[in-house]
Amino acid sequence: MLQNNEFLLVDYLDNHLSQDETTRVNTLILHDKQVATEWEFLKMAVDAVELGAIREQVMQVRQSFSNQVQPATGFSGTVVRNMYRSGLRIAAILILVLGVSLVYKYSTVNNASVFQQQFADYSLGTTRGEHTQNVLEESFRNKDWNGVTTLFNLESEKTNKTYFLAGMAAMEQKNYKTAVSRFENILAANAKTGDNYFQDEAQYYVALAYLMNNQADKGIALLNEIRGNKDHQYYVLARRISSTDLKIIALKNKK
Amino acid sequence: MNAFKLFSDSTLVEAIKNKNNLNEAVLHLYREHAAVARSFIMGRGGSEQDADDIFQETVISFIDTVQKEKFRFESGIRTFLISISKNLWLNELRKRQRSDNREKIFETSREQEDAGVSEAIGDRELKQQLQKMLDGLGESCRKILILFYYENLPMKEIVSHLHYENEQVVRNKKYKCLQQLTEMLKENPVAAKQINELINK
Repeated sequence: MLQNNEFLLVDYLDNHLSQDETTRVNTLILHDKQVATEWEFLKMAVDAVELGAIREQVMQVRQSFSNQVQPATGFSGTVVRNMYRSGLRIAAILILVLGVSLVYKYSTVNNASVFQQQFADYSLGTTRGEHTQNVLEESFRNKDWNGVTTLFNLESEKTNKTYFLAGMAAMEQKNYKTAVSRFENILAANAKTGDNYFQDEAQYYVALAYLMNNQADKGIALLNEIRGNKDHQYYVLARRISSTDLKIIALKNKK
Repeated sequence: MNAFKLFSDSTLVEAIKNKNNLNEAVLHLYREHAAVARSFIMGRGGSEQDADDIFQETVISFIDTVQKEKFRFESGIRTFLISISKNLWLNELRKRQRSDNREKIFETSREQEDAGVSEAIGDRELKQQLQKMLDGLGESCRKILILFYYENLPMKEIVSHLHYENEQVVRNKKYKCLQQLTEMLKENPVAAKQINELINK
């Protein structure tokens, strides 16, 4: 097919043609089988783009939804017991309990406890029937963290997604320094291109990695940033950390 | 305390159609309907992962149907979603174990599917192939095509969004990416067969 026709069809697809040109293309599609075939392929390409965009968005929400559900169920074990009998006793016990819990809280809240409370395994969405499409993703789903790292190192063209999966593999292996570097790579790449591919994921998990990598100040600042941004995918999850806990770890991390 | 946006069926469809508050709308679908779909799938031999994957595909098919203006409110959203999930899961089971006599049990539980549901499911194999090809395009191409054809952003905004030099550079890049994707489609037997059938109807 002539390249001119290809340009014409793309302009037709993009609604960039005049009335006359549109009529001409309509006629071509009706009477020229080759042009009609080309047109159908173009429409299918746009379908693929639309489906891909929807899939990306749904997978992000799925992740955010499962993150919201997991910690919520994790917290359900907390029980407040009815242990008070009279008014005076209540007051006395309350003061005692408050004092004890403050001391207890201060002594038990630290970078690791916040990390453990907040860290949730990342569940990678799947495209059913494409299990062999990406060996790295498959290794990730199988929790083969060494495999993910090896495949990542072998990759010649690394993407934000592979940086993220390799970062999560490092987190699972408690190698927080490497995790920080991989997540920071995504943030730097996005800052350069203006893209936001895996931006929210990288921000949230690098904040947690900072806590475990002696960079608590950076982690706390980033968690506070996420807590202040309702549009952030991890907003709900970050809001689960109490501001008291953040203040305690900030205090403890001050020299 | 988290405040979640509540949608009626009609406001939900509007939000999806106009891509307005789409994240909230999808979250609403998950919050309101995922549990029912999960219980159906897990009650019929599916794992948690199966249930999550099938519901993800269900939501994608539903959004695609709505955005193509093919959802006609012949049933409520829940009924429609559950029908899609059921059919996707039964198809998946059939694929996994064709000779097993369990299939007969599943077959009997298969509901009469309405035309809208089968249209929404469409050709799953083709959809999977399309996704694979889009992934094969690379990040910058995928992004540029999505911004132009899905987000409907004007060239000017794409230039500033992706930090290209000017509109002409983006236009050329977009053309090349689209051409690359079309070439991949032509080389794909499933896609080529479908187009061939369509043209020779």
